[in-house]
Amino acid sequence: MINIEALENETLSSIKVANTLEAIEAIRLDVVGKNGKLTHAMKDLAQLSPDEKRQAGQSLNSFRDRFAAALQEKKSYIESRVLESQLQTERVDVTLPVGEAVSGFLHPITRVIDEVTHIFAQMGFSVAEGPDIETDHNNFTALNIPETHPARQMHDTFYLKSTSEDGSPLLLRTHTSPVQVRTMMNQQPSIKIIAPGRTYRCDSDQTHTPMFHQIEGLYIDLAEKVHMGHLKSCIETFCRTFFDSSTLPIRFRPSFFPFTEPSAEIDIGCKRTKDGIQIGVGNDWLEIMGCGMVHPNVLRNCGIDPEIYQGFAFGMGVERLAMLKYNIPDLRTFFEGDSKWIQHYGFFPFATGYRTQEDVA
Amino acid sequence: MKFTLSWLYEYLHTKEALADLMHHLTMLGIEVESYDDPTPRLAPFLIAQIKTLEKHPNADRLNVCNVQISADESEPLVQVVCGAPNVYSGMKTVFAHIGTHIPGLDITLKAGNIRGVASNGMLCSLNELNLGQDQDGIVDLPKDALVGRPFAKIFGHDDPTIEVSITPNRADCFGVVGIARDIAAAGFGDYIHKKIPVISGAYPCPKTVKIESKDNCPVYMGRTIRNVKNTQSPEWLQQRLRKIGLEPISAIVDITNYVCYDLCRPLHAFDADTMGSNINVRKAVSGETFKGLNDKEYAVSDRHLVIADESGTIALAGVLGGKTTGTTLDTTTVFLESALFHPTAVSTTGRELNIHTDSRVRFERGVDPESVRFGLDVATQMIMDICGGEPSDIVMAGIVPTNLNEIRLELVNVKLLTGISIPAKVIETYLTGLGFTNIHAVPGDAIKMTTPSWRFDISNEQDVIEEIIRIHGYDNLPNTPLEVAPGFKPHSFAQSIPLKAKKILATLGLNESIHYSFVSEKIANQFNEGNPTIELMNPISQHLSHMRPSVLPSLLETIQRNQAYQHKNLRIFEVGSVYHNAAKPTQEAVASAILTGDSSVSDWRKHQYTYDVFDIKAIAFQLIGRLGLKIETVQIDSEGAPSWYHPGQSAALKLGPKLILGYFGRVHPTTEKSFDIEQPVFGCEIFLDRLPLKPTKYSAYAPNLLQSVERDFAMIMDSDVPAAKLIKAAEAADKDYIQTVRLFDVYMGKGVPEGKKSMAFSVTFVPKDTTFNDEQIQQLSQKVIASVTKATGGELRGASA
Repeated sequence: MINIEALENETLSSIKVANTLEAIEAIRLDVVGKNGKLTHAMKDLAQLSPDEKRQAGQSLNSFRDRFAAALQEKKSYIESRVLESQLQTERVDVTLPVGEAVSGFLHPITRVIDEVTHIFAQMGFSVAEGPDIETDHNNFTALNIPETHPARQMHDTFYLKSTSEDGSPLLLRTHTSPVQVRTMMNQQPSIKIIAPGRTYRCDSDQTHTPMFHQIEGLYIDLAEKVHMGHLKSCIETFCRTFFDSSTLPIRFRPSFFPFTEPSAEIDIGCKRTKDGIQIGVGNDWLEIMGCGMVHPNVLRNCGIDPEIYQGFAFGMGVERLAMLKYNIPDLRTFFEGDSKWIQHYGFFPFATGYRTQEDVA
Repeated sequence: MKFTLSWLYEYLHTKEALADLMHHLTMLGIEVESYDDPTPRLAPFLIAQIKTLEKHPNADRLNVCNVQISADESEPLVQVVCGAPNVYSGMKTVFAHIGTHIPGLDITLKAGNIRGVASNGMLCSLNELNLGQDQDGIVDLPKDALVGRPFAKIFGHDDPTIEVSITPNRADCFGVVGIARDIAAAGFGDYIHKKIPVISGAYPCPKTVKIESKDNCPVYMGRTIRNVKNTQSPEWLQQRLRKIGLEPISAIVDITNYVCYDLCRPLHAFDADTMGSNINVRKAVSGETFKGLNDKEYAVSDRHLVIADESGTIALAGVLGGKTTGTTLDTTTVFLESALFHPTAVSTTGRELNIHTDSRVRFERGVDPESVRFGLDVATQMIMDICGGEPSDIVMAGIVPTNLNEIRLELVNVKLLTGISIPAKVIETYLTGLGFTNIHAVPGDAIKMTTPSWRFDISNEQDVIEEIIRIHGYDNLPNTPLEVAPGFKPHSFAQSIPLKAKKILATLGLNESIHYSFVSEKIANQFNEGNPTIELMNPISQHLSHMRPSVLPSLLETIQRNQAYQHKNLRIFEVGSVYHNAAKPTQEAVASAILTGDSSVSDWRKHQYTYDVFDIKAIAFQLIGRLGLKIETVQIDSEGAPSWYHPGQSAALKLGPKLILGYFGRVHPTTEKSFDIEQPVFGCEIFLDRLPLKPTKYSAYAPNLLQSVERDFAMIMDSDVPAAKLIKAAEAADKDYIQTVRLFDVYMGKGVPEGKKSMAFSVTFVPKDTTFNDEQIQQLSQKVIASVTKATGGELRGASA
């Protein structure tokens, strides 16, 4: 029979000096491993008498428990030391810079068209589109623009050398209004559309580019369902939502367009400073879009009976909206593709921030 | 259109302040563009009298003046040193105190000491007040000018000038009278009806008039005024013209200009002695030349309407008078023309000869036919008042046309269109104020009316309603919210694709760019595979003369521009249109992207790498895939890309033999070079409209809990075998159990025979009902090897060794 007291002294002191997990494991094997001293002692119990067995068994078990506890305590201690030192060695310089985001940016024109579309969608307008190359009829004649109108001159409108099948001139649309014409020719009211797209005019200077973008809207319904008050509400809702200001001053100023009557220009309140234009404050006015009740001739030209139906139309320049809302001073930079410019003015593709009518109400 | 406030007051009695008047104008549709109220800046300038004057002790050209500046003669005099040559003792002139801002010099006066003599103010010239040019020095006021009173107010220099922009429909507002009428109609004052003189001639007009071109000139009137004494216009007339930006010339010319702005009635005054006796309104004869009042020579043709005498053209009808027949200060007999010319005739002449005059602007938009007569009389009266003379009878050809419309207005339609109820009485007041006549109620709750002769823009009921709501005020329109149907979607599925494509490309790290739809002829041909290009008739420049057949050149030009800023690493896309078929132009939507230079600047952990063709291939496939097309169905045709791609590093993406979905590849080095790009560019073009996309339909997810098995293979085959062939063969080895094939290594070199390559790939087998056993896996692997061997002639690496 082994001397338990001696074994206990021996093992406890070796646990005390052990300082690695390997040493702890070695001690464990030395005592309770397959050939461990305690394991052997347990086996030896079989040779003893029942009384001796009980007594020796008790003291062996009791030793085993003390041994296990002491071993575990030391093990935990060593593990915590190991972890601590691991954490120390794993320390990094978290001020090191990380790589730039991989996302690219959307152009402000895309963003503004998307914003405007969403605002009008909330008022029930759906998107309609049409080609950039148009007939003289859809771009001018149907819209009550007379043959002699200055806009039809070569210095204002791009004409193509190609002609349409009937030999009439083809041109690059000067506004997105031909989309309204196409929609009305193909569909009886009610019609409630918004038409964003590229438009073209023979103009190139500080404030004009030969290509630009417009968004136009059209709502035609039974005469008793839509009047100028609806137009006013629609435009005011749009302006206040887009410019995110429930107190934005807005005025309807009488104006003239061949395709609407009565016609209005929309001004919003602003303040002009040397740093640019501040929207929504100050005593100045800024023209932002044109609108009006669709001229009966236009309805008639598009196969809609003006005795039964009426409605309104409006149009605005996308670049101008973008310049105002996002503080872009120079129109021409929109089309230069400067990579630093787009990083400055561009939008994260999933950027939210669309305002809803409720947001500004 | 410019006018002054005092001018407006001739037709308008109002108590409205200037600022309010301008607001009303704008809200009537006569937008105030700018105004100038000189009152505040001229208020400090006083009428003063030089009481004594002596030579400056130290300067020959200076005088020391003692000036009385107050009506109270007991007030002390002010000492002023003055350098004007025209000073004299007793002179009444204009004085400014120390501290006054002198507008013409843009300085603020400081107490001065001029060569040892104190000077406590300044005596001013008109020039220094920005009121015109002086002949000889400081202002020399009349003897009866009241000392101490404000100079500008007493002498009418404080008249504010207002500039308005006139919409094309409001021809009548090119006369002050028309502007006054609108303000009065809106209730902001009373319109003053001026008495129009009716002048009877003292003798028959010695000229005859004939209209040969009747379509272009309905009526022509004229009269001579003999024994006139042409002179400088009186001060009030000169001042008004100057304020609206016209330089006074002589009384006769000034009067015709004045009536033009006053009544919107263009006139022309000839020196009757320099012209023939028989006036003819006709088309010019091609080959004729004409020298205008502006000293320019014009070659006129039969497209231009002219006034001619026996010798030829003496004026461009409604546009410009002639040099040889114009009035001068020596003119003693005037022939005064008042006519009506067709807007198109006038605009054709003006546009083709590039002449812009006040007369042209008015005739182009339409002039009141009635004013032919009364305008002639008003101007005659003014000439007689200022220059004397005796008028002849009026000589006339044609007849004054009538353009009056009778319009019926259903009262209910006013509310129907505008949303506001306006009482009939109020409507009647508005219309009367605007000059409508014969307004009367008719059965059926309607009124009838006759339009004024000066309004060309009113021919139907809606035109009248526009007038009513304009005068009533747009501010009074109701704000009526629109009804919206629930469950509303702004985009159709197809319409949503371009924006999705943009978002996908942006999330892949590319920046959006938007470019003009036109390119140069050279580029259009370069990117059009020999098809005819769509050409503009009137391009703005040679670089923008053709509709682009591809978006790629737009992106290449942008690379070129960025290169100039040293931006070399670029990832750019555009989703836009391209244009094809010159005979019957069409357009289609394309998403095009380019990569060039190095991948995004990496951080300190990893190195950046240089883009290659596989990066753009990845972009193209991710775009197509994320838009919703199964990319496994897309075939890669390595011979199918157009000429602007590198023939060995490009492909067409196809569905079936005919449908081309797009291209990707390295841009052809020759093409790169033609854009002065010094590094390889990788581009793709995806034709969005051609992708057979459908909204995603989701099936229920059934997870396969059985363990899948992955096995790697390396096979040696000829080096020209396309990878796609191997992958396709491996995939086809077993339709039921092979899930994916992934190529992970291509190796040529040591250990692989010359002309051969080793391709390593990994195949994932997925069991269906029970887990695979070793034998099944072995069988599947053999099938893969057999299939690939059959397709490529390759064999398992190491198998033969």
